[in-house]
Amino acid sequence: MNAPLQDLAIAPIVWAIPGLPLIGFVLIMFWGGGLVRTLGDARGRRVVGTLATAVVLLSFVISVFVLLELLRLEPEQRRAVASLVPLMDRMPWIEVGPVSVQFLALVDPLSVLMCLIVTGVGGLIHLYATGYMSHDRDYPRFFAYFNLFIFAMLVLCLGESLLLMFVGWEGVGLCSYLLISFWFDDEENAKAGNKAFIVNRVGDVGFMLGILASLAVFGTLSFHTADGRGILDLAARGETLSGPLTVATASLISALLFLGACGKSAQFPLHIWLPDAMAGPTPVSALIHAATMVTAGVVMVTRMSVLFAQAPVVLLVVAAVGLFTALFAATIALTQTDIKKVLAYSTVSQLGFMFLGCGAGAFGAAMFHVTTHAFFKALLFLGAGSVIHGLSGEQDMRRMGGLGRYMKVTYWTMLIGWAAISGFPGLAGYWSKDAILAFASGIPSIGMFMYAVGAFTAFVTGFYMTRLMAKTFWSAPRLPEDAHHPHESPPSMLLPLIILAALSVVGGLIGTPWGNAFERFLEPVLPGADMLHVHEAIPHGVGLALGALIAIAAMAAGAAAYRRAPSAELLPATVKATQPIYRAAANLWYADAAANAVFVQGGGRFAGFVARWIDKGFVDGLVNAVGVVTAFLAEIARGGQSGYVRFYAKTMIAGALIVLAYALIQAGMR
Amino acid sequence: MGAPTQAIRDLSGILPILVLWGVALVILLGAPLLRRGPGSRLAAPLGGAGALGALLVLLRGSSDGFGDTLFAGAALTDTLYSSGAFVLLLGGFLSVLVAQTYLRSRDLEKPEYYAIMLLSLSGALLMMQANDLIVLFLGLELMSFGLYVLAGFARTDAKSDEAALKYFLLGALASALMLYGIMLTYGVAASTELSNVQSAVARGALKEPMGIAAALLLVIGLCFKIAAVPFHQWSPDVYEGAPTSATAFLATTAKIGAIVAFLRVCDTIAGGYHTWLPAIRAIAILSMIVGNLIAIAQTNVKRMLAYSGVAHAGYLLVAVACMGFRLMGTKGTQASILAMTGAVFYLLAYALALIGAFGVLAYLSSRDKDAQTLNDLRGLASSQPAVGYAMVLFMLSLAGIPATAGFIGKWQVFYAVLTGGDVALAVTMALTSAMGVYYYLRVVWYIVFEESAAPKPSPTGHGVEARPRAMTGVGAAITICCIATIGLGILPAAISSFLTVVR
Repeated sequence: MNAPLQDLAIAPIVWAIPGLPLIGFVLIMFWGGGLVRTLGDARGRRVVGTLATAVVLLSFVISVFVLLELLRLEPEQRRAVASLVPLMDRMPWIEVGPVSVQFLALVDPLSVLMCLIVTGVGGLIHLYATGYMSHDRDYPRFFAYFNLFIFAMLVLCLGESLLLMFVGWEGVGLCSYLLISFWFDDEENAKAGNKAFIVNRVGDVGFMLGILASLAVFGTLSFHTADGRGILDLAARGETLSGPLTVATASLISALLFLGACGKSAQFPLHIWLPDAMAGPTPVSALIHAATMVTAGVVMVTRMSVLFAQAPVVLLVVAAVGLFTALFAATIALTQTDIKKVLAYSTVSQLGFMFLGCGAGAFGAAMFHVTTHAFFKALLFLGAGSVIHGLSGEQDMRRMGGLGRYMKVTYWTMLIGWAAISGFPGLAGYWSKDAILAFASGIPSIGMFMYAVGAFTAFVTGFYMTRLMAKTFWSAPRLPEDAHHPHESPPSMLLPLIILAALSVVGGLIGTPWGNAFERFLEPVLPGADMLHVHEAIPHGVGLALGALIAIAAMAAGAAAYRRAPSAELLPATVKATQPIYRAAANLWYADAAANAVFVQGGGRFAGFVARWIDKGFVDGLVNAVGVVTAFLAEIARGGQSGYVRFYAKTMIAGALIVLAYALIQAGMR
Repeated sequence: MGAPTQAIRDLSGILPILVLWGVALVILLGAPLLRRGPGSRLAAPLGGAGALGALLVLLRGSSDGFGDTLFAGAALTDTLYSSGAFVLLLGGFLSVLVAQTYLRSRDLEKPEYYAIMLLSLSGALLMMQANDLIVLFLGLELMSFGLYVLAGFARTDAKSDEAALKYFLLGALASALMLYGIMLTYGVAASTELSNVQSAVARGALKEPMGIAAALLLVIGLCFKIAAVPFHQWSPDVYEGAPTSATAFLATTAKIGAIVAFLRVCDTIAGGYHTWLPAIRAIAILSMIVGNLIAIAQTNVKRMLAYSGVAHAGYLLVAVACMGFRLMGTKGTQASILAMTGAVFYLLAYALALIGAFGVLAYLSSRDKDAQTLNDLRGLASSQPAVGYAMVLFMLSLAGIPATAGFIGKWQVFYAVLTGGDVALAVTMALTSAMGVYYYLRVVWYIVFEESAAPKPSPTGHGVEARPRAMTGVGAAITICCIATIGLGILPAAISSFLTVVR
């Protein structure tokens, strides 16, 4: 953990990884509209879409080169900093007293991994969006925001200090807001954007306080510095700026940071914004609200894992919140009828799994799940988008069914996504979910309970995904009579689906329990075994066998259940209306209602109270009093401004005399 | 080897001044050609080239030999001078850009205007470089005479004449007081060279009545130039009466030159701080309170900016007060150095915002309308969004809102005075800044939220003034001010290599 910073031959071009999408953003934002006008609609759009996709894919290529360069170093030496400003070694940003923050990137396994995911999956989704958004009138604006998002996300992943990370963090939040309410003509979308923005603020307060606490405790914001006095350097040695790092201090900072992670990664009770965020275009849901941005919380916790490792209580809280969210969201997913809402709750649930992994101390397994989840959840969202595109905007699964016939590629790729997320043996989700559950079983004293709940959640996952497939593809067609004829999507949308499907199949093989290349790669950024002892209470073979069994059982159970219901409705409407558990889950366990009652209504009432009594009565009264007095004084003072030079001169002389007299008398008294 | 190299070093030390003088001379000699006809287009570019040339010469000047004295101890070059000069010449260049458009649209343009500007700038430079009170006085007068003339440049406008006369009469009085102070200084130190004055102060010169009077008269003379209370009453009348471009120039030039000289003088007499520090603190607090207070009652933007200038003089005096902490332990020394750097940055931020704001007024002025009041700004954000929001930005910077240069400047001075441990000044600064936000935001309110009062331009264009005027100069000035204000607000460290004062 304490290797010095290395010199990387490739460092001078690291800036291009976030720089290229930024350039793309600027070009499209300022000239995209003009381009579409001058080149004609079709050609202009093609140029804009190609440019936006190309910059991201180029970033991906550079990320690959950086990875290769990094792999040439010894594992424990894989850490370097590089300037984010071209042609400059160090661009100072903030220098206040002892605090100095520069535009630097930290190049290490974690950041490079995230760069690869963000630019790789992001590039595919860009390609997909060129087809999906082709009929949208705001085509350039969409791609401008999309590129800006990639830029902000890369700053988040690469930032060398907590502050730079926070800049990216806020940047992706902004893009998320802009893209959720992309079709702002509809008030619902605008509201969903606001909700995401506001709920995220709650978490951000925690993150900000965490940053300030880190600054106070460690005296710096950099993760690693050349002299080994960065936050993580100090924390790894159990030191602070002054004296040893106590458990209480580590707990405080990591708890605050975790609050921030909860906001961005939609953990209970701050999860309520993510399902509403599906109001944005589907590529946005896939890129931002499934594959990349929502995993930022996991990335941040992993980045600070050395600190979390020294706060056992916080780790337990992380695991508990993650597990609870996983189960809680999975049950809601069982009841949703909007195809994107199912996937949204599924995302919340999978994020819960990732935090369970973090809480168990298995940060590597959590990042592994981040990676595989990026593949299969992006695939599922893009598949759902393809379905929606083929049905001209229909999202309600009750009006789908039998679509496999019309869209073959979409169907087969989604089938792979379904198997991958359900944990079908050998596919991506199987390996990563199993790794997390295995480590969860090793949590002291309550490990087996955690394992059992996690396994049950995995079963529910398989079941609700089977439900989604049954309602969409397998059941009898229930399209409305007047609906457009369903059609398959264009190749630009199918190619990403195929690539992501392939990754969902083989992507897990880098992290099998036998020769876990993934964990070994990430090891240098994780807390060592001496700091945090994690183990698996369940043997590999048993865990894997159980996982396979659960997945197959869930898929079989779902398939069997829906096979008997050709209309794809398992429960009669009367049962749905009367069953309290079903009703509660379908009503999102009343989390939104509670948040609405407490924060929106209660907050509104509190604000009303403040406005009426404290603001109008007290503050305004005070301000008005000040205003009246000030205006009165100002009038008096203005009276001195007579315009006569002789008066001005007399004032000057008088002033000079007073000053002199005072000083001389003072001197005389001394 | 000795004599010729010394002469060359002396001259190269004042090279920016020589450039200014050279270009001013060219303009004055060529005035008949530049006055009318095709040559009249060349006057402003020449003036701009003079300021810019001096700036480039300054930036290119080698930094070795910094701290050396020139002309047998009359002048010197150091980082306080070079960073102050950077700000001054940048402000001068921007003022030329503003003047080019304003004078032309008001039919006031004469080549001499630019020559006088350059001479005035050279005076301010001399004042910053002075290592001798007499040289300082010389620079002060050279600067001031130019400013008097510029204030009265609109000769047919009675208000402009009145402004010039008032400025001159009161300025002469202030000069007399200051000269008296210099004379008394000679009386106690037997020299007017700053190093000798410093050693005299170290020997206790400021304990005698004559020394006390000398120090305070110097302080009062400089306080007049920066318009600090109670020596500020000229400023609203002059700001309002002078042509807008001249107001922009004199407001920034006088403040930059005088503050840098002020810092140097107070740094020199830091040993006797107990005599002058209470006076400066009192004047600073009074300026901050009175300036912000009266500005609230103004409806004329130029007058409002004059009172806001009084308040800013107060903030800058806080930095000057920090010079008095220099000999009070390491914290005090640190505070005095921080304050020098902070004051120079503050001046830069102030110059950018102020020239920008006056530039907007100049932009809105035409042959038969001189934009001055809040009503002239009504609804600007909707009628001319670019200019309107530029003005909003300048107001925010003057108010010291974060992410603008004004905030960074204020923060640096605030940080310096806190380091020095003077909580009373810091608190006053913070409270009065909050007061100031009110009247700056009122301008913002008029620009953004009020309906435009001007009649809508009729589709035929009849009866509405067509404005095919070239806005290049002032447009460029506003753009530069905007970019720099935001840029320095976000990336203040970008320019620190020019502006850091090293001791």
